[in-house]
Amino acid sequence: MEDRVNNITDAFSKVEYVKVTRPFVLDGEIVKGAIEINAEPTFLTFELEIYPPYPFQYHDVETIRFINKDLIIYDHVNGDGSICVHTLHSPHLATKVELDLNSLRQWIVKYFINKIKDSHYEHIVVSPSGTGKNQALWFTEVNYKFKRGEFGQFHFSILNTGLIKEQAVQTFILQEFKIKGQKLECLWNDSYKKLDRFAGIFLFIGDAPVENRRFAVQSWHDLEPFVDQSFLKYLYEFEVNLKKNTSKGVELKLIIGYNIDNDEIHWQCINFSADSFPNYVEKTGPKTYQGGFLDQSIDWMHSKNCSPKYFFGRGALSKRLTESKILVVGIGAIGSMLCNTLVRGGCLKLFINDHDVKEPDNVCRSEYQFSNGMVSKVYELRNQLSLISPFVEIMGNEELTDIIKRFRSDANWQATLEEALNQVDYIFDCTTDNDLAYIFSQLNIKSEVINISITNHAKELVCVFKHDQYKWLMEIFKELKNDTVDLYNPTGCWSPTFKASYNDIAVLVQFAVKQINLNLDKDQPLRNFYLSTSDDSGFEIKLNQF
Amino acid sequence: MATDKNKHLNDVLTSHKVSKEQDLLDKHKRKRDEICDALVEKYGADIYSPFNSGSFAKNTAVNKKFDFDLMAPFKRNAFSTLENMFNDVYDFLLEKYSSSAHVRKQKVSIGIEFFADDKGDIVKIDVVPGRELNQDQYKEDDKLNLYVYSQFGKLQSGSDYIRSNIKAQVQNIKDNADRANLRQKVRLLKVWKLYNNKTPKSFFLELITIKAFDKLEISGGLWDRLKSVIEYIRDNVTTVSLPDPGNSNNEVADSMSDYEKSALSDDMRNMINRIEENSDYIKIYFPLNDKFPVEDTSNNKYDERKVAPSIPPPTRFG
Repeated sequence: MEDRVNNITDAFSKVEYVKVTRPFVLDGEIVKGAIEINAEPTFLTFELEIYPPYPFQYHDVETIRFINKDLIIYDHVNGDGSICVHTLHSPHLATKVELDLNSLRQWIVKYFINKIKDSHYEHIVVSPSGTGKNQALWFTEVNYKFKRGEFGQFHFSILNTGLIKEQAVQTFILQEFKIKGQKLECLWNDSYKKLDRFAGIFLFIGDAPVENRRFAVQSWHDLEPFVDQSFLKYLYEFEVNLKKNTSKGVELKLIIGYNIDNDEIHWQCINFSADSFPNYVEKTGPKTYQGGFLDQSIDWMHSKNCSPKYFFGRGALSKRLTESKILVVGIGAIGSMLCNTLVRGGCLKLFINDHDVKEPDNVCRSEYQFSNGMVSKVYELRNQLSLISPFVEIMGNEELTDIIKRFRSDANWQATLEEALNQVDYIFDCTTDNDLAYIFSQLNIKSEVINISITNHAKELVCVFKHDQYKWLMEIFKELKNDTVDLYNPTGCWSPTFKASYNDIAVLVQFAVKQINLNLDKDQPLRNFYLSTSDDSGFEIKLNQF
Repeated sequence: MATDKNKHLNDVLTSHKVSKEQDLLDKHKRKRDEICDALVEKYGADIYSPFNSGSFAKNTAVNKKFDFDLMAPFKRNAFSTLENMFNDVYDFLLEKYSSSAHVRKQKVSIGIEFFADDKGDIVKIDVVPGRELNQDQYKEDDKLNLYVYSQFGKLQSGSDYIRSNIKAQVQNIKDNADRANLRQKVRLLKVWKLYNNKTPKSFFLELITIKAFDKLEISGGLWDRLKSVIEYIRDNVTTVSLPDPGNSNNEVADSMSDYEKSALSDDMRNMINRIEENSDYIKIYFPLNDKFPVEDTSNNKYDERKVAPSIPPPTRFG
């Protein structure tokens, strides 16, 4: 360990704009010292803490800390005064020291000297603590412009309870605000709206409840300047009513809203016990009272805006898809993977159809789960997709294709069917049903029909669009060397099926969705195509467009 | 077995000969003559002899979908404005045929689509009114001004017109007809366009085919010659200039947007790639007309569909 201290000392000594103001020493496992950085005309001193993993990162965090509590009001400074620097990787201690110091000096120039503001909004720093430490509230925007000082009740539900580092963590979702008899609902789909609801209190204060510019106040007393007497009176009355009606030990939630960039509102949530409301009332005259907050610590919870723009913010499919109504017919291997991709990609309106029942041997290559047992594919996938996205509206049935075939020859029915199918923008036919492809080719509908199927062993994937779809399908498949002999034949009365793993199929389905999405996003013509694979010299996928 | 591309393309041409639809063709001719007579009777000395101006005149028609274009050349003093000419001819045709046909204003023509007869045949004739530039000048130069009808209303509705020489347009393709059977290539490209739901104007395809023949040494079998044209379109469609042979000031290449030209280039590229990979794909791009299958005189049955019209559908998986 002495070597390590010497190595660190050497590394810092070699950097010309750094002066070691307190020699490095070992304190337990941590090497500590102090330095001064020369960023002329500015000189700043920092306490240094270097942890054992250094020069490696630990959980994406640097294992060196430059601390100066006087800098807390500047951007990218943590609550303990440590500067938030992220530098390049280097496994060599001396190089890493140089990189970290360079990064620190850049921070000084950018944020301390030039006081540059980042173009993106930086959320206030909230440190969840107490009972709030293991609780999170997720919310979406609602269609309402809150006024400063507005308060009332909101409803929330328990989403789930999980574990983080062996500790139970509860996640709640905000359901609605009640304002002047009006219910302002979050954007969750019906599955989530159906959850049991509990009441809490909301308060919109306009400005973020912070001290030192970016740090959430830690004491109830420090929250006092952000609220007015009418809210304190409401809180007092709420407490009185609660004590009349409910048993002890209830946990309450107060959410505090404030404006952030672009007319957006953010909510932070506080947990407190019904047994110890954080406010007090004192008499200031014969009939006058003054409310206030006690000087006790706030149990902030974690909170997150889950509105679609954030939920799908990291990556989504083209708006041409996400803003469309989509029917997926046939939700076997291809269809279920497609649905999953569409929903994760931000599609919000899906109708799914399949007459089939999920069997245990479907699970290995489609988006179904063993745990759900024997169940209709529509039922299970509908639930699965809703588990993924709280915004997708999914409808489904098991009869659509049967109805289409049964009443096809009825002229009146055809018009009805066409009208119904015209309600959707895209129809993905993943049934592999040639009859259905033929029928779709006969219909006069404006919806785009996209037929996706594969050959045995997932050697090829064929994607054919609406125009002359049946003819193209037949011709393309006729030309492909589809092995219909080497099939999987499970015992029992069961049609043989193709051989291919989840990986074999998924890699092609994703490629196909990528190609379709690209065409739509760039407004390119939708050309029929097939993907051919080769594993002669490493796996290759080739796009063959018609 | 690989498809004999030359033989298949020859069969496509045979299968799409307009003479195969002789009955329908005769119906078109009769209606055309009737309209022609009616126009001459109505407008008397104000009109020159109407004449065929479309694919039939150019001998590039295919039987899958066809109509007749009838050019109606008016004298300069017959109408004070081109719009008056267009509307007057429309009103006349509407009055005469509204009980037996759908009559509608189109971009430069009046479309007459007769109701299906007892055999289900539909006759379609487009009448294109045009006016000579100066009184009696048409006899000298064949030039006409066409009215451009703007259904959705431009800023100055109906102010646009096209000056052209339709006879020169027809003559242009006739003059080039003997060059390695150029018209065959035009017909094949029309077959491709019709069956593949593509948008380029036939006139555009004609001119770019002629341009390809101008620029390239076109030789070999039918596929090689067609392929040369397809490659020329693939490589040049985004930059080529295609002046209207009836009026060199009209740039026909401008009738397609850059985006459409780029898409056409991609279509040509994909088509060649697929057919070169697998000759059978030529049958998807250039299908026979199901209504007129071609007798197989060879020993090998390269196309089983004519003996077994419904082949077993392939197995697909998913």
